[in-house]
Amino acid sequence: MSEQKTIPDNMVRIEIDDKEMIVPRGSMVIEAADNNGISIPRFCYHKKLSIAANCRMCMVDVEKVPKPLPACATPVMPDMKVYTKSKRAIDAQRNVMEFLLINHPLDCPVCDQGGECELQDISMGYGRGVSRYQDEKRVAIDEDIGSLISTEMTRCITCTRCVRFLEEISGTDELGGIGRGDRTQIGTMVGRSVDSVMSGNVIDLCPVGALTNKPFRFKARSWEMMSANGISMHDAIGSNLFYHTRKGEILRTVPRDNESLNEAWISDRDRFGVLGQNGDDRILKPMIKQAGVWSEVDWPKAMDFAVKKLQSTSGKDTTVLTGSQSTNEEYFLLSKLFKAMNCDNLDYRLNQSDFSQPHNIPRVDLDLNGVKDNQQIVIIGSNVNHEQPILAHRIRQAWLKNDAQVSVFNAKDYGFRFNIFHNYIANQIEWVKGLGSLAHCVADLTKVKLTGEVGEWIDNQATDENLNHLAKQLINKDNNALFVIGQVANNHPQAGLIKAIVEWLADNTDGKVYEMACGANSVGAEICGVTSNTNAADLINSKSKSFVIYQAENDDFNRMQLAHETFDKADSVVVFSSFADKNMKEVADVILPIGLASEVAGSFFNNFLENQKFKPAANLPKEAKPGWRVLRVLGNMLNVDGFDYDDISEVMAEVDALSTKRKASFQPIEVTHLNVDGLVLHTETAIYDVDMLSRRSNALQETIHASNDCLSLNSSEAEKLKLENAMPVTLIQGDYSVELFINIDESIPTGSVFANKCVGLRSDVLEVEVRGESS
Amino acid sequence: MKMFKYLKSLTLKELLKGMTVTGKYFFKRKFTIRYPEEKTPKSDRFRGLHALRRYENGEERCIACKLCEAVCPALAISIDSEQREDGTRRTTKYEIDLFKCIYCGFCEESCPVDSIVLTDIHEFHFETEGRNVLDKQQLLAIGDLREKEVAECRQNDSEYR
Repeated sequence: MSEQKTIPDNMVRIEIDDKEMIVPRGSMVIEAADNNGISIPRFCYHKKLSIAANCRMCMVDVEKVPKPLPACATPVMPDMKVYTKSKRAIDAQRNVMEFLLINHPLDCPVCDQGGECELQDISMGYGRGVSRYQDEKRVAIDEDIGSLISTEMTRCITCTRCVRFLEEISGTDELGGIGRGDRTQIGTMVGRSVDSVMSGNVIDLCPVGALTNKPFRFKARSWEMMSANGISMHDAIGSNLFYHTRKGEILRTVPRDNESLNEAWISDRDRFGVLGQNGDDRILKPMIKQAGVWSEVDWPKAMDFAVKKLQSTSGKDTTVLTGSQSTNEEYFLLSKLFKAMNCDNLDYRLNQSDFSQPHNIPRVDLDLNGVKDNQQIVIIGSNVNHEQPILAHRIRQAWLKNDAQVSVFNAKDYGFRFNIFHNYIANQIEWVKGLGSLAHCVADLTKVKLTGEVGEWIDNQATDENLNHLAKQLINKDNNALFVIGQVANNHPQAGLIKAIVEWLADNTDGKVYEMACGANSVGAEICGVTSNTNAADLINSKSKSFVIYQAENDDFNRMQLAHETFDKADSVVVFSSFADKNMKEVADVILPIGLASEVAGSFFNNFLENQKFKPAANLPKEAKPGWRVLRVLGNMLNVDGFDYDDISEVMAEVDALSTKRKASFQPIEVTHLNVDGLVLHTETAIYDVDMLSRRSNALQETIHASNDCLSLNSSEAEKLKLENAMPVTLIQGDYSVELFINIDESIPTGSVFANKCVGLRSDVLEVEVRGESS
Repeated sequence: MKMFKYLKSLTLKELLKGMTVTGKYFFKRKFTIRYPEEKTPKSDRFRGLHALRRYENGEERCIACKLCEAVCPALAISIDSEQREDGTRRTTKYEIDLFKCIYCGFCEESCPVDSIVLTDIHEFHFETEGRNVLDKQQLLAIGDLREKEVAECRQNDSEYR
């Protein structure tokens, strides 16, 4: 007699293929098999999606059960005996395979999935060599579902993974099945595009070639490509990726599982953004401008030229501005180099306008897995779905699975894919007041005395019955509260006030704060010291003689026109960049081509202060060099000490040693009072305009989310101004005016107009005037 | 014994035996051919210079499945592909390096559409560097030139395939 093992209550003992295992009660046979290295063929089962059991491929033989059962939908039972390789199981699997192949085209050589197709793989094991089917095959009509996913619906085996993904994870319900039996067709049914910002994941989920990567279509086979680890270059979640490269060129991006960050998903921006690497204005050789004429030169000459330009002004007269897409190592060397030259004019917060809160590492009190533990989530000034799609997914899961209540304070109703508990949508001035009202309600309920200027401001805001209801939930000891601050708040002219209120709210409701960092690595820029006592807004308004622009372009600045003018007036502008558009070429004196983060070794800090390192995935194009090498040589040429690095690992070690401690909490500040009589402008960076790479990704720019030249306002506002849809108007902001087209959009609150920032608007001047053609 | 040996050499028996063989072959049809004026017949399975075939309507057969590239043991084939304007999968580059190629015929065997074939052309040389790499246009031109022969050979051999 073997000794009786004690099995915990929540576990059961089962046997699969005579292998004994203890598995959690309630789990499915297929999970137990997967976790114990027993392979069961499957198409519709996916560990992150609900169970559909409609492909019937995972049939297994269970002892004492008269017929085979689907392993994905059969819960484990105590002392169950499962056979996955018995005659009955194999017969069932072979029969299912034969039925699946009846309607599936057998032309794998022309299919883009060939070589990485689950149906192809499994049919090698379970398919018959020759088809017995003689009749006509089913044909389905392809739909055009946008610029990211190409469809060949005849290949579909209706596993419904895509349908379940869009329903459960993305929440957009954009694909569905219609018809019955072999007439079932998956599609949008109304002929629209799939617009989820995570839609690309259906490409990975599709086990066959029905949904494939459109920009990658027919470019390469899976066996030709190398896989390299990468980190997202577009948002501060730092999603883990694989870049698939062929001959040193990145052809596509797929997710790399990381349970604590992106799980098995990545956003479309991470998947297709890197395709911008081949943009038309990629700089391939160093360039210098002499007497207004650009010429391509070799590196030594360009470096000499740059050094001369930098030496012509003192460090104090030099300003360094960086984008938020570079590696920590580049930021570190940049800051080290220019601080050694007595330059104290560095900043990375190009898009921000209110700097009353001193620069700091964004406050994040939890990790992504902790989001689901919050019963009350308050989104403050953020289109979270576009800023950090993975965070939006986590918030949605908290709402879906843990009944979290999500409230929103925004200047536009973004149509989040979860129910909203309290939806406070008002113009840019009013929603901040709404947030103040909430704080006032909390103060009244908790009897906390409001102090300081911010406290006084809060006290002046009227209380509101609805917000009082929310406040009660927030202070409830049983509820964990989470306050999410996004880019609308961060770029708001009252950003400092908003952050101070949120700090106060979090302190008084025992809540947590999640402050989204802008770009992919602004956290790295902060930690590596691309900071100074001044700020980007003052710097581009200053009379600095010399500017160094590192991996940034005009569109990255909050005040694009002013930035352009200032650079134009400056004595010298030294640009380190992968791309240079027309605007940059007008003002720059020397452009040094550096590699993108996908082409160099380096590391990124994500929003949770994880330092994620990566190696180069792609080859540098032509004569471009890694930024850290260029800075190292520049350091030597400028005779700065401590630039004797031989290898990036030496720089990485120094970055590792940097403190990642947040300096202090948000400071109480002086309150700026905003007052606008007419329409209030709300402008924000579109999802695919966040950095130079995504702006150049054609596939992304063809989607519905790409920026446009529309001025959105709601119908009642339009009626007041006698404006109609598609009518050309002139929008005047200060001394800047731009021609836009009217777009009637009910998600814009009354008294507010909305436009994308890339048309040349700035986020800190809220007062605008709209002039129709006639007036 | 010694006697027999002596007799054998005296009657020149062995010499005559040898001369008979020579004499026989002197009057037999000769094996040697006058290459290049004369040529030996070749097997239908002869593996010579490569060609890309077309369908009767002029459409190229190759669908850029890249199986030949994958199977090639000498890595002599390199293919780039993309979606053609009509939405079909086509090659933009199809190159065979004849220096690398070992004429094993795996490419032909792997081809699902009988596009890449080894013709019976075995007389070729290169005079300038780089000509050893056949590009898509050259391969298609060879195919056009020898389509009849290629089709015939495949037909003759079809029952053994």
